[in-house]
Amino acid sequence: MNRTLEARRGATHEALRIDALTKRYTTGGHEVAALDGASLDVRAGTFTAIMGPSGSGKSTLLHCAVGLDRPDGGSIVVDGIDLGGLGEREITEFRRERVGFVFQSYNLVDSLTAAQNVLLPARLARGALGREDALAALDGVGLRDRADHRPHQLSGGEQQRVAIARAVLTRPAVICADEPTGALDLARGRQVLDHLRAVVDTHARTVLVVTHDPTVAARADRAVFMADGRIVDELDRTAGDRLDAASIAVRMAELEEA
Amino acid sequence: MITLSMVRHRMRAILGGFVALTLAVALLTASAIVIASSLPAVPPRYERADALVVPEEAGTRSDDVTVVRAVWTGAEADSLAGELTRSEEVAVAVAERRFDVRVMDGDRVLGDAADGAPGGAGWSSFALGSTALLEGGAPSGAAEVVLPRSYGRAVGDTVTVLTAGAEWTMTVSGVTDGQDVLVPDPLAGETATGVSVIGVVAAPGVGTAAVDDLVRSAVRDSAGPTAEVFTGTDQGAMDAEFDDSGNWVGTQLLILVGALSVFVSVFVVGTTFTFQVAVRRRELALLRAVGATPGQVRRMLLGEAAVVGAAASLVGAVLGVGGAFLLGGWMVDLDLLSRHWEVRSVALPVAVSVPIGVVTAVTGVLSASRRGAAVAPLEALRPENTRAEAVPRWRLWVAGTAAVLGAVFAVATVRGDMEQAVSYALGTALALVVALAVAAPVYLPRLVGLLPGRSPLSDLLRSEARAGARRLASTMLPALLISALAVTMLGQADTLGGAIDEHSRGDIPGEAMVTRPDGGNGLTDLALERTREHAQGEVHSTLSTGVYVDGNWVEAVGLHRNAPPAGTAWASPATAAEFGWEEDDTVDLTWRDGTTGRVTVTVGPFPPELEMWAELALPHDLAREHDPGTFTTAASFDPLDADALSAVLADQGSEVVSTSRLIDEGVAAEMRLVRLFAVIILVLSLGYTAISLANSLSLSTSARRRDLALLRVTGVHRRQVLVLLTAESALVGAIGLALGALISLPGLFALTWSLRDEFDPRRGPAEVAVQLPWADLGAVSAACLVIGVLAALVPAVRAMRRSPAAMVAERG
Ligand SMILES: Nc1ncnc2c1ncn2[C@@H]1O[C@H](COP(=O)(O)OP(=O)(O)O)[C@@H](O)[C@H]1O
Ligand SMILES: [Mg+2]
Repeated sequence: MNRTLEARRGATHEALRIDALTKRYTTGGHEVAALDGASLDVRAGTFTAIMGPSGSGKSTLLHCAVGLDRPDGGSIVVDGIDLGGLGEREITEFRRERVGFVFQSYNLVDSLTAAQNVLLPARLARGALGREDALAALDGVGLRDRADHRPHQLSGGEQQRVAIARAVLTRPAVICADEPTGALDLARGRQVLDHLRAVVDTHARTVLVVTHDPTVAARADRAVFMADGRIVDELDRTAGDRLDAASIAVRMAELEEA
Repeated sequence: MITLSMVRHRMRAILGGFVALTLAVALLTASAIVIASSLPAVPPRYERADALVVPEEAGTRSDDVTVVRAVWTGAEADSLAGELTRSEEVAVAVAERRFDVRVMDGDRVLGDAADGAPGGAGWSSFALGSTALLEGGAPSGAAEVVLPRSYGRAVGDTVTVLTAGAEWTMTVSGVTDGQDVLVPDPLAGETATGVSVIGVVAAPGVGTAAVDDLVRSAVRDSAGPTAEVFTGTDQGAMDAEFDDSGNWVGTQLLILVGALSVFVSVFVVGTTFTFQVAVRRRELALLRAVGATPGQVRRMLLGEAAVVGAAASLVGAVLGVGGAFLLGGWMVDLDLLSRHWEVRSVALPVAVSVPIGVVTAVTGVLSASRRGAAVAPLEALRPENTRAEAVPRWRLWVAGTAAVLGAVFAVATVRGDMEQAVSYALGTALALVVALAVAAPVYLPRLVGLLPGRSPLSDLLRSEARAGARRLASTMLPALLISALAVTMLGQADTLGGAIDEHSRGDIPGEAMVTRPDGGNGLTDLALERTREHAQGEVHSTLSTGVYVDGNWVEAVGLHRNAPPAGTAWASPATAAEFGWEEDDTVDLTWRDGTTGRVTVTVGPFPPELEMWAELALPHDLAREHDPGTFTTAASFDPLDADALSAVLADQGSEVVSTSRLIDEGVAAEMRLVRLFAVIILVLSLGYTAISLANSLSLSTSARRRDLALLRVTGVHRRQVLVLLTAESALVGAIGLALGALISLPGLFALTWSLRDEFDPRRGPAEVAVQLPWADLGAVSAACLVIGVLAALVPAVRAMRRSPAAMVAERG
């Protein structure tokens, strides 16, 4: 894929199209609608923050988007691929080739070094990537010198950065992170955020982040708000909305009151 | 690559499975080598013979197992052997003269009491064997003898050689590394009872097939009974026919040990890996999340098992080869193997054991790998154990099937004879173990839920049991298995022992018996005469022999007490019916020495001491006339003066022993063997228990570190945590022990039913009760509980050295 083509595609394509997703859980006899008709389009090469009260369905949405979970209804198209039509094997391959993600914690396999962890999806895909690529990716998150450390020898923030390096290694269409800074202190959280921002700015990737923190959302290009399994509101910098911590906090407060 | 780094990382966690498997393969290899080295073989005494010719089969002895063959008279055998020897292709053909013999140095018996073939033969037999002459040479004249080295005599020494009817003072002319006492051929010819085997050594350069043809055609034309020829063209048949090593008891033990260690290690390896999968759910989910397909996860787990299995099997095989020498030597010491046993076969047993080890590991991990592959990627995000563990349906199916199998085994136990019953009862218990083990996650939380008490501790125990049913189940299994094995095997030993002691004392008349000082049977006619002089009333002596009627073996006995009139025979009603004899008929028969004759029979029921085994009774002298080579088996009587008699029996290699003591010793010897089996199995199983408990508990403790830390943070004392773990381990262990004991009972009761008909039928069904060695079972249970508690505490104490905060902060 040559660069101009990719750039054009980035400018015009939606990296992610989510339409009318529904997902229900039945626990202890009563039913919960985790997603209730959520729809969201994400342009390629942007940084989107998803916000909303606890239990509003943010994680579920993200899991569906990267093929970790399957919705009961609605459609998801990632990078032109409709996830609805994929079998278990295909969706696994989709995960390791088309998307990357970072969990709140426990992102790395204990028995493997940082470099091995970074390389894991490529290895599983029997791709042509090698240790050099892993080191380059680690370099990108400032951890080249930690390549041969094992997860228990790394701090929480460093582990998150290794996870970011892994997420970008295979050049996926979309990178998702579910509260990646939730378990970190302020300074470390900022560092992780810087790296995610860099993924968009310097690698022109598409990033989707779930967060509770208005200061995190303030660094996004667009913030969408969820409540009761639906997208209920958004602030889009490119559309001229003010996107700073204060206005985001106000929106959040309104939502939580509603 | 990934597999390798994961195995390396998890070395400590996999250690349990590794050790268990290594031990299993070591035991398996050692057992297999010993078994392969004790398979039937032509004994050294016939090893050089290219063909061995024996008369046709004539029936079985009273044990219904030992085959008896017809017999050649000396003349018939000599003519056949002579004809064979005249052939160009034959170097020598020997009509072997074999007879009971005892060599004395004054009052001391030389050599060991050995069962098996009688130890005396003519010098010509030397040519048939691979035995080497170590010193001296052939016996010349009539007063020289060649002895085995084990007799401890040198060339030139003088010894007394006793046969059933004669006593020779002889000079040692040679010493061999064999087992036979070789006397000049003319003496052997006078002494032996007919000829039972003709050995043929081919001339140099003559092939096996040629010998086979030649001997067969010579035999076809010969006089006397039809003969059967064994040659190297069918080595297996030859080995089976002539083997007299008596290795079968040891072989049985080894098969049991081998089978059990495979069974137990499939168990241990299975739980190790199942547990691994449970503990590693998050890791597996993470792999799935970053793009490992279910197939890749399954292959990874199988690959890990194969790596561990192959490593363990190789180490085990090396240990096993070394162990085989120890094991074999030890079994020889316990008389479980022939004294002449040695390691003969190594490659094949190793080639069989190593793949079995790998297959065991892979089998153990099969279901675990399927479960691992089914882990959903999202589980990477959820803390463990909050997932409700649905019990898969296959568990119930397998449990149900195993329970039915157990019932089938129980029925088979009731119907089988004593030996079958013992195995089937064990089968019953093991099938039920499988049933209970597989179903454990279903019932165990419910059982623990019955725990009374409102204390926070018991609340915690109950909820932990609900949340970690599978973990609890895997810690219960060893106790279950141990208890089932201990109760079944020790219970069988005691129940059998009790039954034999109570019901099989038989009806040996008289207070005393004559035996060899070192055990072993047989007395010379001279010893018997002296015994009769010192007995109150007539001596009950049995010269165990036989006659042939129409080519059929009839088990006969030569008697003094209750003997029929001289020159006549006394048939039991069953024997008379079989051959259509009436009182006072004169019947044709062939004697034990191959000569034919006529004898008048009387018919009447036998006394109890004969009824169980003999078919025809003869006066001692008549039996002796036609069976000169065999010692009188036993003599029982009421002694006038036991010490005086012992003094005059000494130079005959006999002594007087009280009958009840002899029976006690006999029962004790039999029970010693049964108990030995049980103890070996138990020690093995306890070892396995220790390994698998230490293994699964250290795994589960490290998996529960955070829970423990949380308890600590919320204000539970370190001591209270340890009490909780102790209580849990002891409770689960106790449940396992109780269930194991419970499921052993059906098999044991089935065994008592089966034993009812095993003893003297005239007394009706025997009353046999289940007997349990409570002290031993208590010790085994205590050991099992202690192992369990230690295995739970040691890793917990280690885990709690650090501060609670540090533990909580630790990664999941
Ligand atoms: N595996 C599950 N089982 C049952 N209910 C679930 C499960 N996952 C999520 N839920 C429910 O779905 C709703 C949305 O959850 P989630 O997407 O995790 O919310 P958020 O990430 O916004 O806090 C919540 O009410 C939650 O309890
Ligand atoms: Mg969430």
